[in-house]
Amino acid sequence: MSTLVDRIVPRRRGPSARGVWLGRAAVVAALLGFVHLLASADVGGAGTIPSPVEVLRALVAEVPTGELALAVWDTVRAWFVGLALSAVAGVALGALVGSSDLAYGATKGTFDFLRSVPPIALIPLAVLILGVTADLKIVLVVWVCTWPVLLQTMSGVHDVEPLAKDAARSMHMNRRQVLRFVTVPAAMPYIGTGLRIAAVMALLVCIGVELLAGAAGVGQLIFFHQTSGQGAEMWATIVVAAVLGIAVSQVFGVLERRVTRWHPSQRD
Amino acid sequence: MAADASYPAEATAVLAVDSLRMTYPTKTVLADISFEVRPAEIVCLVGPSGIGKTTLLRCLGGLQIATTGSVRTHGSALGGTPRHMSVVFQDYSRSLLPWMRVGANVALPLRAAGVGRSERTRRAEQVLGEVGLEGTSDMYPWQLSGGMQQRVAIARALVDNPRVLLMDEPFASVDAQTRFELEDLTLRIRAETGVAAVLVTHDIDEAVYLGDRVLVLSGAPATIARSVDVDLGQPRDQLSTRAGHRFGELRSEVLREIRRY
Repeated sequence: MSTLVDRIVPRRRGPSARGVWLGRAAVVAALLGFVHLLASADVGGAGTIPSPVEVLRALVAEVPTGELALAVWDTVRAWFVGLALSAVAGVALGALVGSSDLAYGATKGTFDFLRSVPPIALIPLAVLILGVTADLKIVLVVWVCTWPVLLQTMSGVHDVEPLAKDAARSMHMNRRQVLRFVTVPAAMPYIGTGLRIAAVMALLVCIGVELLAGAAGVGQLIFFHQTSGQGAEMWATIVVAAVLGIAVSQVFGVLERRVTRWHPSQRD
Repeated sequence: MAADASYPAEATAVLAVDSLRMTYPTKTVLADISFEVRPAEIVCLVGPSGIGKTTLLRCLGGLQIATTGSVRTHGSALGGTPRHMSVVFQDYSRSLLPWMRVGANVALPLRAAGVGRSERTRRAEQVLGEVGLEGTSDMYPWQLSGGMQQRVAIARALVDNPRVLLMDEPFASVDAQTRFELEDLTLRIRAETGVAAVLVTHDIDEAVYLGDRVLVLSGAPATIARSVDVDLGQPRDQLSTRAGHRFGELRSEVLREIRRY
């Protein structure tokens, strides 16, 4: 019954997919070429900037030692545990606060302020209280990442269409059913956005803490390579960190689009 | 109440409103509202905008609690929307759930009532057929036109076999042509299922065309100023019924009553 669908999809002619891929390849090639030029000129002196080939070679050499894999594991584990705790705490607390107009209004400003404290500024305090442990990373991740999830969930639950709730009540739903069939699905796009923001921030916090406070992980490995003058290895580790970042933001971007497919902003 | 003299209180009334009063801290909106709705009867509520029609309907549906008075359906007093009653809201785009497909939206009342998947799917298909929307189960409501979305909302309201439909300005958000179609759909569903309806509208012609009875709300606080029996018989037809002499008399009678205040 496709005739029933009253949507008109305007089709603009854009560049072909192949053209876009060629363009992307050209940009990457230009960047690598530029780095190679910098390396040839030895900008910064003493091999500060190694050529892309050296970086690749260092990366390949470092994989079998297990050192890199261990560092990635340390980072990813803290990232995952911290993010999972933030997600649970943020969604639960956000749903609770968001379902009361009073609680929502009273807490929103304070929460907005607390989320704005730069996480890096808290590292010295956390080190003083906790010392440098794996927990330090997790605690900081939870502190930083609970806010976006909490605030997004609060808004999502608070903004649920009142008429949809009336409709639910007129269908004889009890409170749990309203939560399950209306409130949670309606808040999902908000929660999805909160989780995506939190996932990326969690990685930044993990690597930042490792780098600045010396907890085990990718950040600490970057620091070691830097202090022992292993320029190519340092860059190779930075590349790994970048790949982690891209992977996290891509995966969560896809998840977010999946839960928001019905939302007006995502309809096509 | 005098206006109800032609409808003696019967045990068979599907909805009985007795001395309903709605008071907010600053003013009384509704006072001494009493009427009954019989099986398969369509009662239209008209009145100037802001008079409290929607408030009254929400009280009937248990979405708002009246200050005093009672609303009974099958002899039981209200707390929440009673079984055998369902509501069609004006704004289908906000009352349908956009993350659920049409079939799931229609089946939702059954799901909430714990009906199994295969049974509720079967019933949803059936009721979608009754409103002329076969084959739309897998679409999202927002992919349909406004009139079709309101049909989905009507299907959802019918899915659990209600005795009474509460309809709040149900056709106010669609174009005139669609409006006629939905009015006739309402009459056909009433004829087929025997469901009664309380329909709020600001459109006097619509009230006379659809109603077996038109209740005019007016005054502050609002009371039922008049109950007009619509003796046009059935079936009704958009062209001939509306063109008839009696139709004109009835709409003038209702309009005069509204204008009086």
